[in-house]
Amino acid sequence: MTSFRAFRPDDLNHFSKCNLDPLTETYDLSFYLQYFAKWPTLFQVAEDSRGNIVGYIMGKTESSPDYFQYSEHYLPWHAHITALTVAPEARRLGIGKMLTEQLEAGAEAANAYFVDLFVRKSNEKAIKFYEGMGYSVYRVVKDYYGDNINDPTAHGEDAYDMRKPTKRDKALKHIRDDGRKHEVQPEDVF
Amino acid sequence: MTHPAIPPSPETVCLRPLCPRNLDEAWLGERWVDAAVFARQQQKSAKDKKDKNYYHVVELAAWAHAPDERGINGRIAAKAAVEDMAKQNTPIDDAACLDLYEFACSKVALDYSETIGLLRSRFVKAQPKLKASALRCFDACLWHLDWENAQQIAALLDKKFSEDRKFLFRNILTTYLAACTERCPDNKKQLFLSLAKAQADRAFDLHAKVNVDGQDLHPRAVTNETEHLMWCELRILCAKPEDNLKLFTSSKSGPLAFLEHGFDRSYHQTMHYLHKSGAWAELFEIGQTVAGRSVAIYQEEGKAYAEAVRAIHQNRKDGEDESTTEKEKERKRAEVIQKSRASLSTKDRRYEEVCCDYFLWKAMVVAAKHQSDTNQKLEETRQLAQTMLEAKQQAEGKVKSVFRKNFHLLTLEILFARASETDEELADGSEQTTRVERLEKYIDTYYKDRSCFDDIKPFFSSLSKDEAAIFLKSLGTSGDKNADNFKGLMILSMRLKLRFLQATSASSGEKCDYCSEICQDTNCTGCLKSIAKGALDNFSSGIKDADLLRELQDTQDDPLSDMTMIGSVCLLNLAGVGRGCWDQGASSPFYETDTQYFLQAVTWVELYVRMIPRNDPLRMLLVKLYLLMGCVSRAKILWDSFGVKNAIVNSLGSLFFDRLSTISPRDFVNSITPTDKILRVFSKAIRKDFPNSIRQSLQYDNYWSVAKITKSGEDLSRSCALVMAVVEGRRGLRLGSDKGGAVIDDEPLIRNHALEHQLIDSTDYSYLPDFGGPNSKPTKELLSYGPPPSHERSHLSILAERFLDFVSCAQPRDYKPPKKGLALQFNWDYAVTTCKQIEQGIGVVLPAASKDHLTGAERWYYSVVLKLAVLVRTILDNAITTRSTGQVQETVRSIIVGLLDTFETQTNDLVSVPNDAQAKIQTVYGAAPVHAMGMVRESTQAIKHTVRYVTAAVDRIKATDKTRGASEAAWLGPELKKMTTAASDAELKVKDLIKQLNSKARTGGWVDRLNEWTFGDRTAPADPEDKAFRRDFADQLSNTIPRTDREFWADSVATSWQELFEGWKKVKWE
Ligand SMILES: CC(C)(COP(=O)(O)OP(=O)(O)OC[C@H]1O[C@@H](n2cnc3c(N)ncnc32)[C@H](O)[C@@H]1OP(=O)(O)O)[C@@H](O)C(=O)NCCC(=O)NCCS
Repeated sequence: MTSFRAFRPDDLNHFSKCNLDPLTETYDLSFYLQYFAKWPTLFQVAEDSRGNIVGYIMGKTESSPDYFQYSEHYLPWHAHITALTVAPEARRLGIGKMLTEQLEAGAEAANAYFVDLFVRKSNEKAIKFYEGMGYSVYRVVKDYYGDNINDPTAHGEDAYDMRKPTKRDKALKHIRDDGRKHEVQPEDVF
Repeated sequence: MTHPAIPPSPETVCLRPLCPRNLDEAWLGERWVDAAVFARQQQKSAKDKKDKNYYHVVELAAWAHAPDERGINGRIAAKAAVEDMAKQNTPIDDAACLDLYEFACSKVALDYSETIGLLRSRFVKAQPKLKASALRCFDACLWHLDWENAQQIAALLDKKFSEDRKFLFRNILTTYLAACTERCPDNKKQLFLSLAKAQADRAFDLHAKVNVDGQDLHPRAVTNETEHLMWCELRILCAKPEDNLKLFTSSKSGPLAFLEHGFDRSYHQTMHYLHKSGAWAELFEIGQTVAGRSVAIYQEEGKAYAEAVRAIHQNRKDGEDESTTEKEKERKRAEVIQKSRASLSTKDRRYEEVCCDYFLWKAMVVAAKHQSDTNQKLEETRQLAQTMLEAKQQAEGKVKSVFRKNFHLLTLEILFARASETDEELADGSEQTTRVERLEKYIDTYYKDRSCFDDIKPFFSSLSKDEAAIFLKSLGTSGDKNADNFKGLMILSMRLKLRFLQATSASSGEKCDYCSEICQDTNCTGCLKSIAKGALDNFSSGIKDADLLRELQDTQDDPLSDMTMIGSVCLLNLAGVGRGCWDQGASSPFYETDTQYFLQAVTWVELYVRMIPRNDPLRMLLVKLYLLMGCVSRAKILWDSFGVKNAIVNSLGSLFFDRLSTISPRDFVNSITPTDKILRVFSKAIRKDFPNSIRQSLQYDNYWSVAKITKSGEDLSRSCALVMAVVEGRRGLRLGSDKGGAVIDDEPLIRNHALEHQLIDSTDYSYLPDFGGPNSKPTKELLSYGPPPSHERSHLSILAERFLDFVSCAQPRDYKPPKKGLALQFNWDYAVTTCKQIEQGIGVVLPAASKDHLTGAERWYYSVVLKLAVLVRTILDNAITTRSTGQVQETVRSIIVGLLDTFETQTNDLVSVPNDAQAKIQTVYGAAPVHAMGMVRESTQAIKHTVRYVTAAVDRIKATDKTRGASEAAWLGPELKKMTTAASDAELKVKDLIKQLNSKARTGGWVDRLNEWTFGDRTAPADPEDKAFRRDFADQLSNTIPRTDREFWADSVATSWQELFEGWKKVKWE
């Protein structure tokens, strides 16, 4: 049995099913609290019958800071998925999709232009997942991740910046078909 | 529930922009003495009174951070100044000075609300127009969780700037939080709560009124969700239940109204309230409306979808798009769904979301059960859910498994709820068969889900004995005969788990539900053996199946992992791990363990973890098993692979670190103990992250997050894992020297912990397997050195540390107070009070904690500390401060006799391992004595420090009154000598034991020896059946585990033991 609800800080004590998975990073407490403090409606969890958190999504709404205003990389008001994870034992049930849809609903409610996220280029499963939900690659951020899971000798790993437009982006100005060809440096992204 | 106050980290203070450069540079560079000197110079040269005062406070703050005694004096001066100003009602007209005073006092224990907080609220009261300063003061109070003064300031701001709505809501929030603090007196509590509620009600009424009148929203009206949440919570807390029910079931302020606004959190909050209040009829009705509404939304979507799909097909028919492949069609369909979903309004999305939440349906089932026409209501619920699922299918093309599964669970829920109500139907057996059939179908569909067992457990438990037998038989058949080997094994593993549940559900002397044998224990031994055997049979054949192994590489669902888990858990139960040994003198959950079964479980799990390495519960099980058998370095490698850090150390840290210092000194001999990292996490979280996120919530006007963050921060400060980290670290440091680091009263994370604070264990044990019945020992207890962390154990450990601090803190030799006699008297008074507090504390907690919260070794240790506290207090009170009488001397002698008696039992328990062949295994097992050894060492240290303390006290009398000192020394000396001798004897015994263990661990031949213990035929043939089982099982397991793996394992175990005892050799005793 799975329930979906807003995150509460005491859920952190029930994150083991998700966070003991090596693909899921465990951050400092301040990181989770910051999201809860600032964007509580964009932090949702899936809970099983025993109170374990078997999935969560954490996001924010923002635009690039003012000093980026005239940069070609300026990002208008949008929602960003900071973390999405589903416990290995609860994958392929639709939990990830449901959580993402909830965040998208939050983005719509906040009148954002699009929802975006970064994903490792090697994380094919997640890329498939996002593509299945209507996201597409907008640009490639070179060596965005400091480490490379598949090649420890490499400097780092590229990220795909993936996007999905919302209702507000009627003209689909914020997505592109050939995003994989657009490469940017980590300092270009906010 | 009260919680200890943990002061936040100090905030940095910048000096004002126009201050001289030299002073600013010294301040920024933390050259405090220079800064103080420069500030004094400025003070002298300043003309203006305000400036003079400013630099005076800068000087005060700089001295408070200076090194050595100057710093100590500086802090005393700062504290005194602040306390004095608070008491004398001294006006402060410069907000910058308040920040400086706060900084000056950041290293001293101070009641913030009574001092700086109070000065801040007085400041705002005196100068309410200075908005920026008032906000700074408000922020500072938030940082210190000083809700009392934050409320005062918020109320003033609200009054002064009433057009700014955020001050109204801050006022409401802080009034509520001030009421919730433990320092708020009862009468004020009620007043504050009523005040907050009245303000919130008014804001809500304005909102309602505006809604009706259609005017613009009033600035002081509740508008967004977080304000609604606060209003609801205040109503729930403060209003009469009948009023709330009326309100929350009305169309304007109940769950339905909230959904109409798209407020899902307020919807949940009120639905839970109705559930808790037992408003069943209303809850059911609301559920029906919500579900009905979302069915309608889905149906609308479905229509649009069907249209679009028709168009796709149409296009193809017309030849416009002939090349359309199935995949392309699929893509187009997905596109249509995406579009239609994207166009949904927030409100409609919320309806759909809450309908996909199991809570709604479960609530409806529970509500139906409380109505007179239960069956009808249940049927209505089922039909509604069915319609919803169909409509969802129409709208989305495909229903996510999670909802399909929820729906199937719901139908099971309804079926089982009905059956229990309808005896008639049961009589003809038709419902029984339906129940079994549905459960079979459920497993057939969801056999892959790890939660499948948990899902069906409650239903299985409510089957009759006959039904359960039919069900298990049929599972066996479908598992055995399944053409899909993977699926067959998954079903068989489910069957074995259910059998384990039955085998551990009967009480001692009752018949086992499965085999009808009388259970000797709370387990049915016969069944456990047959389950273990079944698991091993399946496992052995499974690992030979190359196709299956290939399949397992990329999936999380793994029947072989399940077989290993269930088989090893049976073996552990057969081994009797943890069976009632904690409170025995033998001090180890291992003492009566059947080593062969235990080692078999370990080798089996080790084999599979090495075959398919991934972080799963099997790996965690192995961590616990290795810890239990003293192979700490092996356990550590596995533990590290989980990467437990940051936000999850509170919930998982204890799984590895609890009691570690008493088991493995090796991990603590470095100057940085492994628990230091954990403490850093706690310190940052409690002292910085929580206060910071409270501020962030308010910046973003998320009032309700503040309340939740506050509660969560309080819980973290009461965490047993925090106490564990402090105490383990101190014990660990003592292993390398006789000192445990800084005194506990200097540790801000723990210095305010007192017995009235209820400490909580937030350890998340869900990663460990738990298939057992109601009478079986949970795995978390089975696999630990002793009972899990608890309020009682945590407090005992703090009290014991306080005692050690007390007896080991030596007065500096060059300490020469001006009035020697008076100073000494103060000293003794303080010492007696401290001792009394510790004695009373342990005296209260120990009897309550003995059996359920401590190992035997811990119980002895805390008894020793208690007796030492009694001894010191008696001596101080009756032989140091006054001349002792003969009666006092007798009392002291008898306390020492009792103390040594306890200590002797503790030591003898440790070394009383009999020296026969069986015992040899247990000795080398290592695990039996190590934790107890650690506790004996703690006792010897406590005794030695106490002797030193009392001796020093007598010496001090000698210094003031030579004759009396000599006469007290004359009778006390021999008594103290007895204590020293007992401690030295124990020390020798432990050292000898370590030597023996170390030399045994270092002897060669471990591969053969462990092979013999694990797989050999070494049981007494008392029960021929048992002997036959053992022989067969051992043979089969050893044939399953390749020889190289067995050898590797034996080597690694031996190395790990050697490392353990090597570590013990390094322990310092003086
Ligand atoms: C990515 C992740 C969140 C997906 O969660 P999930 O609950 O398993 O996903 P869903 O069940 O909702 O999948 C929806 C659809 O996405 C696609 N998808 C999901 N996982 C997939 C996989 N492993 N391979 C291929 N497609 C996949 C499928 O089309 C799936 O629909 P289907 O199951 O009906 O075929 C989960 O795999 C995860 O937590 N991974 C580790 C952490 C991570 O990578 N996070 C993303 C980093 S940005």
